[in-house]
Amino acid sequence: MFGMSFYGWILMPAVILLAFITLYPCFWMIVMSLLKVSTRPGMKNEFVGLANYAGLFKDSLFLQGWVIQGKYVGISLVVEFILGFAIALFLNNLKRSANVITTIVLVPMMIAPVAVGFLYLYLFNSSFGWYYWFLRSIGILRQGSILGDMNWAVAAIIIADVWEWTPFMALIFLAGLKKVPLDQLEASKCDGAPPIRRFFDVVLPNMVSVIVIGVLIRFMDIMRYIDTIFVMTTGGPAGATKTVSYYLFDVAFRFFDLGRGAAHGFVLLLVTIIIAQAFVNIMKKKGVQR
Amino acid sequence: MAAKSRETKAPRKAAAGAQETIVHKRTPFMRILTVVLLAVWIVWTLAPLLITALSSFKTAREAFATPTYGDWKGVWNIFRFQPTLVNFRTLFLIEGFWPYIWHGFVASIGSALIAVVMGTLGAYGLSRGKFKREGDISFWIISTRMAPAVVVIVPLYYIFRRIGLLSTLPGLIVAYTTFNLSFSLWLIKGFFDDLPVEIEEAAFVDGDSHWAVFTKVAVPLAAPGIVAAFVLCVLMSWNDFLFAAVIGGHRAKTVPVGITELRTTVEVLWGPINSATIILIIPMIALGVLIRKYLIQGLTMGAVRE
Amino acid sequence: MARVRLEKVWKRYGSVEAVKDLSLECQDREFLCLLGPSGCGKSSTLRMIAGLEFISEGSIYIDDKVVNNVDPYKRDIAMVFESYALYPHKKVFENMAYPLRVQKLPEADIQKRVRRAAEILDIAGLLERWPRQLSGGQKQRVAIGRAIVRDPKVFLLDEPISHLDAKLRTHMRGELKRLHRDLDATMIYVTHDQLEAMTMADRIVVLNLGVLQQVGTPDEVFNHPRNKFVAGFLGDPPMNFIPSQLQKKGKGYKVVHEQFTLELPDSISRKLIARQSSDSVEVELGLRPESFDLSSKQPDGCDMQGKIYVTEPLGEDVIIDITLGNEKIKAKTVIGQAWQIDEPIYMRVKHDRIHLFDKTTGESLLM
Repeated sequence: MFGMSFYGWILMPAVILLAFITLYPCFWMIVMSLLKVSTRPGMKNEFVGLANYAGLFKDSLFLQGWVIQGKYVGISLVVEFILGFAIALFLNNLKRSANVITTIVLVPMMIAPVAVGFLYLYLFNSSFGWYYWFLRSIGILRQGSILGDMNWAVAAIIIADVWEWTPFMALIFLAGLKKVPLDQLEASKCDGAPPIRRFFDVVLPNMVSVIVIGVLIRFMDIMRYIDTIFVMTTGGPAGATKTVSYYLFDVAFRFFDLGRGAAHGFVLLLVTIIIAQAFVNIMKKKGVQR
Repeated sequence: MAAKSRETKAPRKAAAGAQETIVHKRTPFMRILTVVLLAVWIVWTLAPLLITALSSFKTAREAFATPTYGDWKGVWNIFRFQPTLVNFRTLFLIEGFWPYIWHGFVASIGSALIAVVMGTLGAYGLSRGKFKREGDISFWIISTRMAPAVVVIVPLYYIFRRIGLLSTLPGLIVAYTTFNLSFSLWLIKGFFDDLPVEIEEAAFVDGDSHWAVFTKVAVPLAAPGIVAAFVLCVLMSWNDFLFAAVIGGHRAKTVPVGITELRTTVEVLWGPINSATIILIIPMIALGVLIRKYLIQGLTMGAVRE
Repeated sequence: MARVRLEKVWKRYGSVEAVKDLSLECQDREFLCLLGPSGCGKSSTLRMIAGLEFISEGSIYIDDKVVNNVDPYKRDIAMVFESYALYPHKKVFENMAYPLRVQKLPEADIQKRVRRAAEILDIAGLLERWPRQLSGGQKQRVAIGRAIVRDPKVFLLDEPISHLDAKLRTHMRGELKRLHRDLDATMIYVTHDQLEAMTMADRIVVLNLGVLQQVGTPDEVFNHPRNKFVAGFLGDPPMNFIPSQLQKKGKGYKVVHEQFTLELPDSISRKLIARQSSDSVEVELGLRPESFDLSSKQPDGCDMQGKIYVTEPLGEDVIIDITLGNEKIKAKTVIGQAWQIDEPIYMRVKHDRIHLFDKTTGESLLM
């Protein structure tokens, strides 16, 4: 080939910058997690060993945060998966109007999560929110407020997430559906498989990789964003929506315990990686990777 | 004969495309179901936007005019109002929103520029060069993108506090680059991977230098993808709240942070909030539709394509 | 086993007419080839027979029963796809067993039928493999195996071997022909490769632009093409067409070109008398590359003289490109003599191998 050095040189700036803004902070995160970090710049930090980690696991809010996060992530993913798949199937049925409809459907994805939070904060407001009015009118809701109720508040957060990100699932499933080989569908038709069977025997297995990617990215993103929670409930009521991610924000930037925050972040990072990796492995075993 | 044996099957492809084939046969029931359910979904998608957009042109009294429960005709209240710009006026004149828009604009464009310029260089290097630890480099780049933002932000805050980047626009630009750079690097690499190397090899044979081939051949060919990466970087930065709140501090506040401050413990300024939300949303929807073709490829880091 | 009949069948995709007014019949146990270039409607036809494509107009019968609105599966046909269409997430055994599983046959039955098919196709050792572990030829056998286990009335094969490499293709041609005999089945085979059609088919159906050109045995379509298209499509290198004048000469006819004059033998003249009235008409003279005797010295009874443009040796044979006035023609002969570029060459035409086509319609004048 044409000699290596040129490619090495042009890759260099990106790698150095990336190392500075990711590896270096990562290194600091581990260091900080072993310190009692002073609240003001210039004051001395104190080495405390694993005390921050020990503190984490004695903290009931931290432990409860996992349960809430699990609920939030689990329900959102399941709902978005099912709705996304259904919408993808229906979009795949369209002919001429497909492009316009798809574009409309994907609009929520482009919106800032903070804005989504405010949209729903407004709609769920108990004195003038239209969705609140609607829920009261059809009788699902009897009294009280949505965001002030422990269960409804979690539901509201999930609804906002579903509204914003179901289109993402729908769109990548649609891309997957379009790539299911037509000849396999026809072969199964010739072999006499009824539509339901065709879906499970041909469509689904051909979409395994797309499903893995979709669920994985969505999982990572739900772990990343705390914006809607910040806007809609600030973790309330009574900590009902205080996920681990959100609690980290509290610890680090409200109580300004940066050392504890770093330890918290490190644990969160490890768990995210482990769950994601486990998920990939399970799906690889079940479906056939190419 | 050789030419004949490599024929592609034209009529078959036509049948598989827009035409209705038997495998995709649609019964009237399915058609109706499709139309009804998609219509419901579109209403569900657009209703929050519509209600908020209209409310941003309403006075408080009009905006809060939900009827009594069960009064279905009262739904028309959503559309009954005298358009007014009072909310936007409050937003800009009293709440002083201009600087927030400016900060968001500078920070997202600045960070997107850094990310795309460095990303394009790096992506080309990574795509065309052969490196010993290529797999490791790739893994590192992807995992950077996937790490939860809340995690990065704690050490970043500490570091920035020490070197004085906190609460400054350059600080915010660097912070945004933490997620933009790995993103654009990986996405653009995908676009370079798709280009046929032969075109570049032909340019080499014609005597161009590496740099000339890169700037005159590779970059123009990958330009649509590079533009898409740029737009997505702008979109993600402009929409970001967490970095702006923590790193941007008081002096580099962006729109998402500004909005949250319209909600105080004393009162919630719904009118200005709604208009600010619309200002926050509209440009990004426009940008998103603009690069619609690359949206899925972008958001999945190139793993899924339409 | 079964007969398949098409009656005035049309296929339209929007305004595009892929198959126009096609009527044909496939006999019981026949190996019928649908042959034509890309876009000729052969695949659409096969897919309509399979039930994978709606029939725009006309009827398709299998064993005297109209199947227009019958589901593919209930037509009792099996199809082998160009791309094999194996299910990538099922092992070979399950791929072949799939149609039987759908029918909910007992396990023992499935085992028996799959193993038997595997033995016929010599793939018994591959049953536990994944499709991605197979070579192209093996995949193709599995695809055929999936059709065999069904024991269908009709086999439909859509370019099943066109993705294989040349050597394997030649091998599979023989295998398929033998399989047809062993299974004693009705097979309809779509291909664009005239060699496949010539070597395997009982009868060939030549299609072009959705219109039926000719149906006949390989010998009939090759030696008695009904029009210029069929004549040009079969044979490699293809037939030479030379625009010339057909003129009366006494009781017989002659073909006149500025470079040569060909007297037609009685056998051909007799066919012409019936349809030819005017004294002189424009025709296309059709001569296969094999229908020349070549010589570098002027022999007795030489019909035409040209100049060697280039020679293409093919091992035993050699193809010689010859310039003949403004025309360029190809002739084929056994290798041996040293042919020099730009030297004159003398040709004697095998007169009984002459073809004549109407200049405007392209119809053969000798039918």
